[in-house]
Amino acid sequence: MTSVALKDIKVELNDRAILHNINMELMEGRVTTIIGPNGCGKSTMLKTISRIISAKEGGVYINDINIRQMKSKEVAKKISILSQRNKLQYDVKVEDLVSFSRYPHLKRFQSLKEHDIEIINWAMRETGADEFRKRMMSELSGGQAQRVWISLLLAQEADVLLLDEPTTYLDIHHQLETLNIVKELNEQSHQTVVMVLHDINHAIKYSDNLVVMKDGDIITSGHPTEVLTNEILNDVFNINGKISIDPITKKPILADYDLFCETVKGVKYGS
Amino acid sequence: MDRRWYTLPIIVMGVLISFILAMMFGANHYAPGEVWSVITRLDMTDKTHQILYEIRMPRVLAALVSGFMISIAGLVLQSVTHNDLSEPSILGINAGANLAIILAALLVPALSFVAIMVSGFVGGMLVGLVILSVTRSRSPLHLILAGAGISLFLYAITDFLVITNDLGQYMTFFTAGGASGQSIGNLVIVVPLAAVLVIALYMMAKELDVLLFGDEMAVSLGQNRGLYKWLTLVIAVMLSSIAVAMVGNVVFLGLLVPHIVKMIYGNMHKYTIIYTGLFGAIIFALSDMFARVFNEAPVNAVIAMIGLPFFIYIIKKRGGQYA
Repeated sequence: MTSVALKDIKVELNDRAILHNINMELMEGRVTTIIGPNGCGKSTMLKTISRIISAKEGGVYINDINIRQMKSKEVAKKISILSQRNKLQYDVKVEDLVSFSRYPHLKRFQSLKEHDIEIINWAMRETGADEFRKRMMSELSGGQAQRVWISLLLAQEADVLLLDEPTTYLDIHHQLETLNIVKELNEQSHQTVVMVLHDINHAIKYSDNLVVMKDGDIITSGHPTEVLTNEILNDVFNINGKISIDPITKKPILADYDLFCETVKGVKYGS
Repeated sequence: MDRRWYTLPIIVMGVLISFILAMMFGANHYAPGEVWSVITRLDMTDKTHQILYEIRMPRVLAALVSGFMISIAGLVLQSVTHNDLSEPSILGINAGANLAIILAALLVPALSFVAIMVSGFVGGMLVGLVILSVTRSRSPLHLILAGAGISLFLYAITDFLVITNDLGQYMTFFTAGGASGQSIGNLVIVVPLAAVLVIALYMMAKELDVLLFGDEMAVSLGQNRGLYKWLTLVIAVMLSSIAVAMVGNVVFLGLLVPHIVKMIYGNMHKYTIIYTGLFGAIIFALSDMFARVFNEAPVNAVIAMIGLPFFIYIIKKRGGQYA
């Protein structure tokens, strides 16, 4: 197993502090979801874990080794990321794109082995992307493209999967489909999953652990039932939310929500 | 096997055919039989054989190998800089090579071909370093503006040196571009060198793929970006500088050919390196042939005349899916 810990992370972008002093351990083999308002540093946190952004202070540790001291390819075998904006500047065939996932497993100048091709095929079957493996990325719908990206993530065979808003731009059906794939895989192969989601009900439904962020700090974290309260919603998202318990699943659910009256002048809100 | 390889035999045939055609047509035309007899049973006492072997053939081979090198250099520069407009002459690499060659020629009057190549590489590489530092900044436009600026600046210095030192004739060859005046001796040096460089690039095809798809992809897959950006850029600069030493500043070819190839075969370097090289060889050899037929017209003009309509046709046809 791979344990990942963030220690005293501080990140600045253009001299503006984005994350102040983040300390967190990722729950091994579980699904963790980070929620919080826009600009709170959720994506920055995932990007820091995956080395896309480097921390000003502190470090990310894999099994107690700082990732800065590890070889790039070794880190890539442990941690993989699905970025928020996977808009390709250049068009590419689906199966060629997925084959990139094997890069960290290949030695210098080595090309794909039979074993790699089997894993690529497995990953595409798992997400259903093999139906359109010969097509170009530009020909796919949003939902199809997302399956390809998830195949890429799977075939990389990392122990820790980071997903930055995997459901953005998808309709509700494809949102659930994407999250179901992630959940199933987590249950099958016990990979650690860390996601950023905007939909609070999705976060409750799919996560074992919730991390709530605001202004570059972690406000609270824990099991969704413990973490989600009306006060947290008011405080973090500045909405008048009502959490109730779903009678069937016995899980909390964001049943009703609205802006506070004073948020926009002259318009009456509230039920 | 991937269907993108199916057309390879056709394109290789195309290279052979363009070699034969380029051998046949020029200031004087020769029959295919005569060309064939030069290849199969060379007779140096025969006047025609002598001309074909010593003048025409080195020129045609130089055109083929330069077209091969310039186009691949263009492809690599486009991938490394993430910029569809990158090309050795637009980025100022050719201008750097040119200036260095002139400086070397001023210092050492009778410059050998190898010395021309080496000084060209040094000049090209200095510009390459500037390019690498500019690619770190965000805007792709910066790069092209910087390249155009550097190019103009270096050519201005070159012109100044040429005029004040009366090197006009020597220089016209480099600025106009053209494959004339080659010897078998130069080719014996260039061909193996080009082969080694392109094989090295081909071994890095997957690295170029990852570089092309952007920094985030490279980081999350654990690529040592700095190293491969460097290596591939150095090789691209070497290919361009050798081409400058041989055929001068050839413009547009390095832009045109990779785009044609990418529109047909996609973006994976496993395919594009090979096809770009072969298409480049064909287009440059045929352009040089037309240049000869039209009373030694500048080869750059011919490339633009043949290439541009074809280029515009492809952009219009495939424009929706491309760029």
